[in-house]
Amino acid sequence: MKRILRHRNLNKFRCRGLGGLSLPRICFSPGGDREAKHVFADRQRGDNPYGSNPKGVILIGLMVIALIALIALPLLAQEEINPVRGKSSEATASDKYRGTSNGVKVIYDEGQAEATIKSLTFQGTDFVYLKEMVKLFRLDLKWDAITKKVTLTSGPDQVIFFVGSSQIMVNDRIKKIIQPSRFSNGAILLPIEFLSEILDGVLKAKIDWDSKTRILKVSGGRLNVRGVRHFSYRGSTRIVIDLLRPLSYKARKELPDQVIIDVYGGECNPGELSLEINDGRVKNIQAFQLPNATQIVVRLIQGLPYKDFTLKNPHRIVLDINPPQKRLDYKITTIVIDPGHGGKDPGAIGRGGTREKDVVLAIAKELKRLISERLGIRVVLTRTGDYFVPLRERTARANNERADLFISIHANAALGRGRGEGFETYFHSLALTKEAKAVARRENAVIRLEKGSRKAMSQAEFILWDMAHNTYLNESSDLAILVQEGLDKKLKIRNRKVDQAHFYVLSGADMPSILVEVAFISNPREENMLRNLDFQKRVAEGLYNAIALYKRNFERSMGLAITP
Amino acid sequence: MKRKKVLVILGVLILLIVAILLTQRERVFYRIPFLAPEENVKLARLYFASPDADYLRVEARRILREESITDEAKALVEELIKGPRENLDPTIPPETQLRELYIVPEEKCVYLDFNQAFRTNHPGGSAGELLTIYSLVNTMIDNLEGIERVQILVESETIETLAGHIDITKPLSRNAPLVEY
Ligand SMILES: [Zn+2]
Repeated sequence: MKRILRHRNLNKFRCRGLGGLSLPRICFSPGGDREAKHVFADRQRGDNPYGSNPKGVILIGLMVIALIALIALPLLAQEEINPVRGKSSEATASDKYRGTSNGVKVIYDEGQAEATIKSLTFQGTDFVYLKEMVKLFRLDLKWDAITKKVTLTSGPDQVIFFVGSSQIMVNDRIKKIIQPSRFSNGAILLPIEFLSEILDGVLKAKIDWDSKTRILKVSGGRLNVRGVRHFSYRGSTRIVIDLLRPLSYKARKELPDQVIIDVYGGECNPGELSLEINDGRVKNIQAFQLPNATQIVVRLIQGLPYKDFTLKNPHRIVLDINPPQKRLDYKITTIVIDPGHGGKDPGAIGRGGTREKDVVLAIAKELKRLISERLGIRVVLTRTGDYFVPLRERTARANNERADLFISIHANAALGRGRGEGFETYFHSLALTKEAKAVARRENAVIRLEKGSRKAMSQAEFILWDMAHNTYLNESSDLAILVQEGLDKKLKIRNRKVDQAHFYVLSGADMPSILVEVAFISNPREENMLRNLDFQKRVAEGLYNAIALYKRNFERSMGLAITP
Repeated sequence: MKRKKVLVILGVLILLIVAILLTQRERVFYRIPFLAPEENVKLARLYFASPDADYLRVEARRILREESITDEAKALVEELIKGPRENLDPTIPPETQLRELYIVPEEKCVYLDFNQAFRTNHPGGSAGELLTIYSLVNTMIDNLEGIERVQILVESETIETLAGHIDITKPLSRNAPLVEY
């Protein structure tokens, strides 16, 4: 019974809804449920064993109708659903032979720049790839393979259509186009003639198609400076200015902490392009609309070097603040040790009143002594007494000192009765937030595609950039494992784990970095240990051994002689 | 005669029952009483800490089904603040109060705004912070349809960390490694 109803409802909806679109989801609409209950109730009434005779006749009649419906309706419904699918697959099969591939020239107004995109011809109609249009006009594309729904967005504007349907929805208004979009070998194609109609809602420029010369003219260029994005990496910040078409620009430094980019012929909405960043390097970005140019002012927190270049498809200007440089020294010469918390921030406090900030400072000082005495290299503490140091400043210090390792020392805590036990070591994870992962994937994919373009970051440069990040990750995990092993040899408490998490203090470090939780201060037994000088010494010894081993391994792997 | 009488009585009785059933049909067939409370109850998956503070574990708990997703989210946070019933450990300081909760469907994100006590009464530590943060994040994402991210706020503002360790400036997605099944 329910099955029939779903189909029945579906059909009803399809009459009203976006013509011919079969959306499986719709059958679960609240209306459908209500009706389903109704019929279920009917059946209950019909099955009533106490029903009188005339009711029995009705019952039999109902059952016969139901039986017929049960058999017939799904068939009918299926037949109505399938033609859409059947037709389209049929069409692709036969069109495979008819579709011919051609090039289309794209000319931006004033004829300043041009590009070539692919087009396919099916039965005399020219189509272009949706993917190329998305790139060309910098749109955001969402694709639902089940419903065949395409959602294109650009800022607040949205266009929705279903592949194969001639109806499209522009910002909640439905409009009809003559030639619908279609599939070809898994790719979505848009009819070039109706490109401007389809993309009307999300396009900020005017497009004209000349079928004789096969030229697609993109003109108007209203708001050709479309957006500003930024990516904060470990040691550098990348600022990306999205352009609708190539525009000439000039980047300059007027003040030591200010980079100004003039985009000539640029038109923008300054409010949309201004950003607060505050990632330790860049304070903010502000955009201004001048008579003949868009001016973008990047305010830095301190004077830092920058590098600028352009990327194509989509066109954009890239500004790297404090770009990664190839390290020339493969020796570990400076180590920054970060005793956690301090001053107004006591860190975790044990039941006996032991404060994390005091214990970790003692361990850090002992570790500093061991390293400077035995390895003879420079050790910097982020704090040497009981005062407050903001998290950002701790790694900023390490970056400025050009440190080779950053080691943050903490004591652990947890809520509850058990309150945990043992030591554990963490290294930073960029990848744990979904966005970070997506951004990295997207940016890297784009950069990889650009290897051919002239001014773009070369493949070699990219590999270096990529390595600079991954190396720290690998090195950080190597160091974390060594630290955990080093502590394991010295301490008699539980060896918990090496783990990865997104630590605020580690996110700014431009070097291999770890955070070690030496014991649980919230566990009374371990709180007593933490207070014990001998225990503190053993922790420092364990950490020292790990660092010494790491240094030896690292320098050996770089082909350098072992330093005493 | 006696048989006839019995049959007549029986017949009348049957007719009576039929009549009652027919008139009371709605009640008998449509409002099945023992199912009613079931409809108002939902089985929630609440994440609490394992006793050794190593992992998050699920406690299944019946909670009242709420009208809106916002109310349901609020109820879940309240349950987390109440702490576990089974042999697990709490993840949120009991003094914590949820000041406000709002859902932004386009972002698939729920914003949880706590009072200062959430922060000041937190024991700190990386393990403690991770357990607190992801007991909230996982509980929200697992129980609320359409929610994929959770942003923690204290007194309406984003904060860098709860107690100096884990970065909570941005909305967080579900953390699976921390969960022990
Ligand atoms: Zn700490």
